[in-house]
Amino acid sequence: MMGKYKTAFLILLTILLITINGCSSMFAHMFGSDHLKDKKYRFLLFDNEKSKVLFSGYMEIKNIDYKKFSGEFRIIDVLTESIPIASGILEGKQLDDKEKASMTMKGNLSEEKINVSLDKTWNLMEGSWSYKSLTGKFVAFDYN
Amino acid sequence: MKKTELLLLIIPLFFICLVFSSCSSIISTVINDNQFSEGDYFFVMYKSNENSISAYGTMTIYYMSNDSTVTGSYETAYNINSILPNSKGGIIGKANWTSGEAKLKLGTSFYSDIELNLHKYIDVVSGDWSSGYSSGKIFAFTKN
Repeated sequence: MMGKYKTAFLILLTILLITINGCSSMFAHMFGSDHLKDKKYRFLLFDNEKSKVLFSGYMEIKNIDYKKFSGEFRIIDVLTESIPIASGILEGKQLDDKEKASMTMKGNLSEEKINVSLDKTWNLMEGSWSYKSLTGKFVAFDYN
Repeated sequence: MKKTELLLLIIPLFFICLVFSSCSSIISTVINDNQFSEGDYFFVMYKSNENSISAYGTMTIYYMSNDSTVTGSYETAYNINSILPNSKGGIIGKANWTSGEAKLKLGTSFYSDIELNLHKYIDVVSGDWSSGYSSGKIFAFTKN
């Protein structure tokens, strides 16, 4: 009699393990295990209060390892007072909370840089940017 | 049935229920996040094969109950080459709440419409727009 329940227990345990495994891989697939994706994004730098785009362009994130990532960017639209950066390299690091990251956009031809702090790094990248006294909201989404 | 045997059945069943319950609540959150909701969206439009922004502004979405009809209005802050028919106009269309799909038209009573096919995924709305021979991509996200 006890053997019958042992079998039932083992079957239920197996189902439990399969469910846990299935769920975790499904969520890993949905949200990405490391959130940041190796791909091209369009980005926008906003003036929050006026809901106005100040700068926009595209960037490509590559070389994502456990903590750090790098890439390239190019500013395409300059819709307000200029910042002396047209293109350059990205350097960033993921924070312990993997949805968050910080990065700098360094100009190719100068030491000027835009600092970006990201609160969301999956699907839609969202955070804030600062360059000297200018600050605002940063948003990036899939290029394709 | 002995108490131990009963426990052997109840404990794994409890865990399975717990796992399914937590999974379904997460899935429900994700599905609900994919649904369109009323409110102000910041939108950006790009013309095909162009990296520069063609138009941006704010869309305000209202929902008519029962039949999935969407109404609203838009206002542009930037509209190069008059991609949108006017700086202000109306929105009408249909949205599928559960799948996050919407077909909208932006226009005024005097000018021709722009057709939008949108899909909402968690926190970003993306899709295609077309008007006559012009077409391109549109991205929108909830305005804070």
